[in-house]
Amino acid sequence: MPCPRCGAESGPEQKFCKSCGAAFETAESAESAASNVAPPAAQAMPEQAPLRPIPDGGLTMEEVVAWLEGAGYSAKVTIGTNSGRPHIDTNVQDTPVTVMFDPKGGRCDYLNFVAGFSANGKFDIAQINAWNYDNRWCTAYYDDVNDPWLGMCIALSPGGTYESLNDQFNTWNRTLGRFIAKYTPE
Amino acid sequence: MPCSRCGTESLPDQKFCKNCGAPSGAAESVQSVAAAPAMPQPIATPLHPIPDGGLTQEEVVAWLASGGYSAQIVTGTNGKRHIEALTQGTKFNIMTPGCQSGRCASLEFSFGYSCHGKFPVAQLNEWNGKILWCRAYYDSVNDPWLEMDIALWPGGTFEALNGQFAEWNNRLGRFIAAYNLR
Repeated sequence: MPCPRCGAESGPEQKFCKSCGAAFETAESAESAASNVAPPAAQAMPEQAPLRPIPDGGLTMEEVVAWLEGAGYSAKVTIGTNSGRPHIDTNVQDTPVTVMFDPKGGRCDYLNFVAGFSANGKFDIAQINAWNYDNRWCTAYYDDVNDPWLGMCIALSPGGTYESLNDQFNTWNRTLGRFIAKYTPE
Repeated sequence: MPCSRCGTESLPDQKFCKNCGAPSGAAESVQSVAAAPAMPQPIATPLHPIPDGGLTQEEVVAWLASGGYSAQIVTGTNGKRHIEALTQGTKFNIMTPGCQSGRCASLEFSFGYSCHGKFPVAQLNEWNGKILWCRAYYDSVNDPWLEMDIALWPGGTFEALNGQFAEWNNRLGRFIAAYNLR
């Protein structure tokens, strides 16, 4: 049976192409797919690069630390003084960033990146709204002393991949840089 | 060589496991992403990847329709095409900024509600400070909007898209209820 993506020959018992990893449509896989996801109707699709899936349920704190450190960032698990819950402290563009999560069974199905800045109580709803009106991906808000914060959630599970995590982390870094340049000039 | 995920024996020239599709050592060596170090991991369910470059608007409509949601491509007053869809009896828009060759690497879900300038805009800061995933703001006539950005590519999967769409549905329902936008 030739692979529909790359044409490599495979045996009838194979569920995935041994050359490119494409899934073969079997009665079992078709039923499973229909019960979980709904891809668009059959039509010409471009090739897909192989993905590195994130485990079901997401990542452990230790795996998030390893991922950050593997990308060259510092990462330290810290217990919040007020919440008593663990989070990860890292640093992006010389800015402290907190990675919040809510582990279930030891694994986190999303990461919430947040960064706060001291602006001596100068922020108001109009400034924050201007950011949220103009910018995608990250949400801005101010705290009870009117200091600005920026946050972005990244989903890890279901269906997460390291490629998507890396891409969205880059988006966070870029957007954080714009926020810093706009609201906290040197 | 046994598969690292399911243990099925494979030949050295195979880049992917013929049973579960997991990359073999040869395939993993060409990946550029930083992965977590080797440690016991739960099995990752086989995924349905989104095509390279993302989805076309037509594929987004087909994805929504297959989930039972009505959706159609419309042309806005600015001349650009976007998708109008319906969920929980509420109409919302899906914008597709930055598409290349018809494929869109991200989606922007957007819901706006006309309050004729009577919306108490200061409440939106509390929403943005407490509620994850969606961004709320008000426009030039003080009408409230809720938006959520969803990444499709690189690395997107239909499983992740479905999970994010569920988050959108949840937050949209809470937004409408919180501010009585009916």
